[in-house]
Amino acid sequence: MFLAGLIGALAFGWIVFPPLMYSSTEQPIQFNHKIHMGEAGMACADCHPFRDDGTFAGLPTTAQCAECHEEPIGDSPLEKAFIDEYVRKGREVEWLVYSRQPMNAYFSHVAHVTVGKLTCEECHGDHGATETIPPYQVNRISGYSRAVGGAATAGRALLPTEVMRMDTCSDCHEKHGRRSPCLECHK
Amino acid sequence: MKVSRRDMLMLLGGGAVGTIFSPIPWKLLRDSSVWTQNWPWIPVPKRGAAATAASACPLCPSACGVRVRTIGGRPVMVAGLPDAPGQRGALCAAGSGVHQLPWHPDRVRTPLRRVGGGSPGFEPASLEDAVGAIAAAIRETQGTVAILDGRPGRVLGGAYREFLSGRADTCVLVPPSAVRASMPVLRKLHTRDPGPLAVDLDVVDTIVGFSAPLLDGWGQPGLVQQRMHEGRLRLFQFEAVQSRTALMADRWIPITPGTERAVALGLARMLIRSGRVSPAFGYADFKAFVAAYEPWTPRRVFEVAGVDEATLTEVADALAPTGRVVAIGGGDPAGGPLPFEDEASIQVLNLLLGAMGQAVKAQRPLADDPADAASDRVATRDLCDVPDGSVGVLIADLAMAGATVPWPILARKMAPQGLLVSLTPVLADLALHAQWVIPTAPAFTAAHDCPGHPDLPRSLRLARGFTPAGDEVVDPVDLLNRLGTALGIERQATVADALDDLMALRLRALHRAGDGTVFVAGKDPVAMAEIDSPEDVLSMLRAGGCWRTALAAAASAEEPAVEAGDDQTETAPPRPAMPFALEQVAAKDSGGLVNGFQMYLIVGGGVERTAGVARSPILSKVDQESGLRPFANVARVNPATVASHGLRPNRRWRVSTPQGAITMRIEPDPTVPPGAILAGAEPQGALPWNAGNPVDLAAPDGKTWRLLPASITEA
Repeated sequence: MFLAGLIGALAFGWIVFPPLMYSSTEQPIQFNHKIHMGEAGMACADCHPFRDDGTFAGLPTTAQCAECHEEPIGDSPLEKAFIDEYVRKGREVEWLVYSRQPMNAYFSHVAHVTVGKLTCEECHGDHGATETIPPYQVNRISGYSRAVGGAATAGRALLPTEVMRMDTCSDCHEKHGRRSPCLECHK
Repeated sequence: MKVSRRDMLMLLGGGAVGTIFSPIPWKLLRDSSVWTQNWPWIPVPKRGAAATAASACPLCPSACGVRVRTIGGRPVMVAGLPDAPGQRGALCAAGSGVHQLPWHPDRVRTPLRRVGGGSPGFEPASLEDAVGAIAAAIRETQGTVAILDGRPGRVLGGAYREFLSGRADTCVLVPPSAVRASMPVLRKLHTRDPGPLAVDLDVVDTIVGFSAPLLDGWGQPGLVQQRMHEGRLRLFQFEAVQSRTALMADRWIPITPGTERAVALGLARMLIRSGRVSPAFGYADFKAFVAAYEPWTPRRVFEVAGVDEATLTEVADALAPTGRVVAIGGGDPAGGPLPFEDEASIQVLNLLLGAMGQAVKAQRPLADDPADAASDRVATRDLCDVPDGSVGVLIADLAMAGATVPWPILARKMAPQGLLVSLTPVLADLALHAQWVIPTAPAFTAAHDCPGHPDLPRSLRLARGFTPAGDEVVDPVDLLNRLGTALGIERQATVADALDDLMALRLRALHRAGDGTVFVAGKDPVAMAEIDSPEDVLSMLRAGGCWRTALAAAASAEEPAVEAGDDQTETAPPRPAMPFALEQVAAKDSGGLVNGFQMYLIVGGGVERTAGVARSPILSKVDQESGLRPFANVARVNPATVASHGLRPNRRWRVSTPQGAITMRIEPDPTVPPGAILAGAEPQGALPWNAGNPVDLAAPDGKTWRLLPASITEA
């Protein structure tokens, strides 16, 4: 009976419990990174560029998408739906941003990509090769997004319950020989 | 299958063990801790447009230029201003957290009146009640009415003096660090007042530092570093602790704690005997002067300070009386200044080496500067020099002081029924002992004028107000106006409704005088005389600019040194300024340990640990976890002393001085000299977890706290 209790608790803790900690919300519309990066031959910075003043632009606006997708290019129903719902109506997609940071942490893409010369994949893994985008998962207690980093972050195999942690940042800083004074991230 | 009670217990036990090895408890704990960071009452920056603005850090006399990142107009990040002259973009940790001060948990949001019982024992009151009580106390007191101006040089200082000039027996008090800095003491070594003096770093090629944090915040972080980096300056540092300055100096000479005076006297004797004395040194009775220094032989210096003759000779040989060498003392701002006699002994070196008129220059007086209002009518005094029990009413303005003022020293100056009023944005330090606490604006919520370091040319920067301070904040000028109305005191030169008006008044005066130059990062310096209007000056200062006064013209630096044995009383012409009583300074004994106390307690921590009002609470965590600065509840002790005294780091130890004791844990630190304990000043707040403050173990003479005789026993 002891073994049964032990196995039951372990199974519950490792398999059932983690998903319960997160509420899951689908994105307003699906997106295929693989087609854009593969067949279309695009790069990450084509849609997620740095502005002229050096700051990171983040997600593309609908107007930027419309530069190519004013009319459907292929026969994908998703593309058609996107054009009908957003491009033609001039609406912005209300993306649920995975990278929501705690307010006491400051992150700069410029410092990491432009200055630190990191590739996008070092933090975002194979996100650019995915055919669908995952649901937006929010921790029910802390309120933070789950999919900030991923197993590829700093080459660290994260537990299934983990999100990106301060250790992830400091491990990567250490790996790249960068000092990590507190006030560099906690402004 | 029948499940017995034993089976059930086994199942539960297995479940409990399994739960421990599953993510459940740990994940819940971690997420809960993150949740506490997002409680709704914790302020978070609102989303908005990102922008960057220049300002000055108002927290201490370094007045560093800062770059402020704002989101929706609110400051969210502060960094050094990269192109600010003489700063190299450096900024201390306290400055990096200045934008967090408006959210300080001990922030005062209404006038507070002390009531009996409870801790800290305050109740909210109206400003009218506060003004009435203060005015009544000023009217009725038999003692001195004083204002403690923690930041001399502000335009507010002029308003304070004018207010006090309205009655007899008044004075402005200033923290010891403001009047016992190197240049104010050098100024006092003259029979005829040469006026304010300043180090001209453009001329200096060698600095002899005596425990001064020259590379760690003196003047501005990075100021001396920049010149060393450019190869324009070399630094000899005499210091007991291997500080950051000692580490980076061209030569660090370790000394026994508290023996700066002995080293200075020994160096002076060597300079005299080797004839390395500037002809400009015109002391009237040179023979008596030489005789006073004669006992300070290299052997005696070695016995007192631990510096051997070869090392002392090496330094003395590197000092030529060209006028481009300057000796600087001062000391760690948190540990307070050197005793006057020690600083005076150091400043004699500047006289011997001919620094006057070269490396040290007189500053031109500014006509009609409201900051100097009533300076001929109201005395400015070192807080430590006021007779004990003499102050009947004291209004303490230490909000942006950057200086430590130990409560035991202040307490002994107060008359038995004296009234202490604290103007402060945060209930910390002296405010905890006040009868009335008046809330003032924290940094970055209102504009503040920021005068510079007392050893450097007079300068002015402007700290901007980014976010509204709130209706509860009291403008000090408004308080003076209300008190003036109640007491029938009228000001003439500093008439204004608010601090903003007073600062505008000063800018008009500075522009009218046309003296000095305004430096704006990334642009060519502009002479004040060439600037069209005071409004233009204001806009330049708001853009992170710095106004700096011009220094008197340099004298010739190429005069030959005097040969040893010259009788200067016969050959030297009369000098307009003569040092006084130097023999007395030389003849006084260096300090020593008190019987029964076998160790020294060295109090340090830099400007970042001087005052609770200037410290973001996060800095206590940063200091404690990073070892960035010495901390109050950690006694850093040399490993040899740890071994010889059997000080086990895992126990609590009681560090005692003749004035009291503080419990600390031991941390072996090879940078601390054997026999010494290094601890950081600990600004005190209303929150209950603060440790005791080593500063409050100030010496019984009521003048020093940087070095105290101490003993250590297990707690």
